[in-house]
Amino acid sequence: METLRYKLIAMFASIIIAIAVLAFVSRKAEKRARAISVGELGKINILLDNQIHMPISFWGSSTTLVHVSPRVVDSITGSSSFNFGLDGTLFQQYSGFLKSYSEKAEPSLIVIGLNITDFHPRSQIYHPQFYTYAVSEPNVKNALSSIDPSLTWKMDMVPLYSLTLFDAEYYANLNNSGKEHSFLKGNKGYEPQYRTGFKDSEKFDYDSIEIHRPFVDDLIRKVKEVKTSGHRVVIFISPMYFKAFDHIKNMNEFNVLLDEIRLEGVPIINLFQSPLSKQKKLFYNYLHMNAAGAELFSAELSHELLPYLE
Amino acid sequence: MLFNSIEFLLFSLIVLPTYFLLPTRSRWILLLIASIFFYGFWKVEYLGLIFVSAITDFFCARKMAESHTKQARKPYLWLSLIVNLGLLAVFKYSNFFLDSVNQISGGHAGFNGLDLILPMGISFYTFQTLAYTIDVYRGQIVPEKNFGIFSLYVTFFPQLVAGPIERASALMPQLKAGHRFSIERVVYGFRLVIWGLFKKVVIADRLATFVDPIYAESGAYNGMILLTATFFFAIQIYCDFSGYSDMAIGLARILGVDLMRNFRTPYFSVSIGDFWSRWHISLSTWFRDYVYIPLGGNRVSRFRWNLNIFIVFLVSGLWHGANWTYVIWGALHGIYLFLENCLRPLFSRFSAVTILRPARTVICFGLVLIGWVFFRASDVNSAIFILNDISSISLAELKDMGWIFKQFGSIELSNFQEPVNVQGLRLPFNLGQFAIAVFLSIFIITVEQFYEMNVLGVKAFSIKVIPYTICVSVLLVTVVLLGYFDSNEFIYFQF
Repeated sequence: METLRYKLIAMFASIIIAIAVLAFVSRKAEKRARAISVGELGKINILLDNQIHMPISFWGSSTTLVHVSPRVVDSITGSSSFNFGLDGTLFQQYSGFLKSYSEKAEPSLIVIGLNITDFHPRSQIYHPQFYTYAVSEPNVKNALSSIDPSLTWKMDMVPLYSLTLFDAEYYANLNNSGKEHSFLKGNKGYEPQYRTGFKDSEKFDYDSIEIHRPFVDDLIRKVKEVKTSGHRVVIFISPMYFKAFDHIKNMNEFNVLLDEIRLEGVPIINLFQSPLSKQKKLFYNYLHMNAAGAELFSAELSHELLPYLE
Repeated sequence: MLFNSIEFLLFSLIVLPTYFLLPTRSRWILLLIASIFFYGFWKVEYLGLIFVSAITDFFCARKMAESHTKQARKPYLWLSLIVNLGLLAVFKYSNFFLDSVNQISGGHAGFNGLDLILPMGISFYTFQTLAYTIDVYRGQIVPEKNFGIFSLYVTFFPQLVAGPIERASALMPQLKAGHRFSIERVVYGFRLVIWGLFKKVVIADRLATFVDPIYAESGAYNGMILLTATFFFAIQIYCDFSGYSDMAIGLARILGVDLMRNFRTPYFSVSIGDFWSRWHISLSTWFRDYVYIPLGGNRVSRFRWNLNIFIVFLVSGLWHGANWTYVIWGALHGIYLFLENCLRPLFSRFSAVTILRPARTVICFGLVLIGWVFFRASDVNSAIFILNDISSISLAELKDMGWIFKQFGSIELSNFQEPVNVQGLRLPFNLGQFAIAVFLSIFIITVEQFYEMNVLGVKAFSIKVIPYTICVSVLLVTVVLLGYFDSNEFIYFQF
């Protein structure tokens, strides 16, 4: 290298060039990501842009996402519905979106799907890369902060930090996004799964239900907040393949918990042990139903919801 | 605090400029405070142990300095050994020992494991402080009078948790010396830090996403997949550990301190002896100076010489982890070296034949891979199972792997996420990820060897303004865009 001065220039130039390239990529990625109207990112965009308000909205994790077909619900209830289920999230993670939605939407029926995993302690945000643009929304930020305050702070405050969360698949997702149908034309947020059959010997991850008390209190408090905005709230429990119960040692604790939530004035439709739970062909693993199961379950749930629509 | 975290970036942005703004004589105080903060950031409780170790060694060394004979110094050496190795034994090996007793007694012993956390980098700083007391005992160095400087020697943050394991004679004078700000050192150190970061977050952590699921369910995969995972692990552990060393050396260089080189393209070794002169050099030389030579080294009978080597590698295996897999890994390398020593007279005439060098490198790499199976497997049975599967790779399995490689030619972003299915088995990665992993593995080995051999004058070329700017910008962009920042620690932290 020629002189010391040039050496220093080279080092700073490389940093500046890198920052410029990264800022450009970040801007491009954000633009593309915000234009997406399908998948997890598309759903978050819809929520951020306040695009959809329905008389019935379904909230939850993967069990809501793959179990509730708005088409079936619409046909039975005569109302319009949308499935806001987000894969891998606990109530704690999506509750920020729910709060924002309830503040902006006309009074409606909000249906929250829970499963045995919802009260497990968790210290990591699931798929944080999908929340990088949403974190500036105060309700979302508060919800994410309750899971991982340090990551949430960095996502919100550190410039270009979001790029460290994106992986090659995320960029591939951005590239593929235009090739699918948008939510508004398609399944209205529902993602049917066409897989069938799993072995009874397949590993079931939950041998006991861990109930983290702060999550329960948070759920009750937030449901009450949503109700104060004029919405009616119902909680439903999805069916689980019945052999899963053999693995769970403390099922009774979960039932006690549900009673406790009911006493707080939140109605619960418990379909845990619905007759559908006995039919293995309707599941693709212990917790999740396939498309055939989801059709039947959506019908069953819709009938249960009718009294709350009157 | 991890080198690959925003917290560390902020820490560096505060510590490095402040270091050069302070008067030369008080810079070590900032480094000491920064090092304590760096280590305490994980768990404040860890600081207690490291200071017990530091106080003991400082005291023992001072007392040894007051004694005029080796005999009089000996009790203080023993005190240092007992305290340091005792802490290591309690925190690192007690549960391993209790488990082993339980297993041997068929569960009759019924010992319950102790609820202990393994302090980060305990093996590294223990060895570093032991080297100090042993050197003082031998009269090779004069003990430090300033406890602050000595504490900085023990806790110096760039190399505290994963080395290189430095000798007091090399590090302590540098910590005391006042360093002027040097553009050359900053520029070179910065490049080394970025290169290390690239190896860690872009390569090592990416490869971990292949290796971990396959090793977690090794029974579900065929020999070819297990061999591929083991190859990836070899690259992963190299990039993980040498990446950390590069960052440590780079950071220290910016601060004006030269740390020893820890790796020298080890996978191009032509023998196991050669491998250990290129892999974790600071540990190998530590064992040479403080275990092998005191045992008699090679100035003993042939049998005793080989036994000394075997003992050193057995201890080295145990140093790496409290599990029988590490012990076997160490023993395996001891056996390799024993065989190498036995066969050397037979093959000595061929050792200078250049054309045989690639074959020797491949054989050596193969032997190292066998060792890595034990190193990575969760237990000895799994390791044996994996090796058994690898040894019985069929033609069909080879064809399947060939089929995967053929698909690389047709990869587009649209089929990037195409799952890889082999014989009806869905592999825990997709085509695009696999292609990137293969490319990066070959890239890193080739680039580092080219640099080492200075092919086409690459060393001089890389420090010219334009190539430097391009390379460092590309590395920075790649680190941010393709790096894995959600994975946690460096593999060697657990040691």
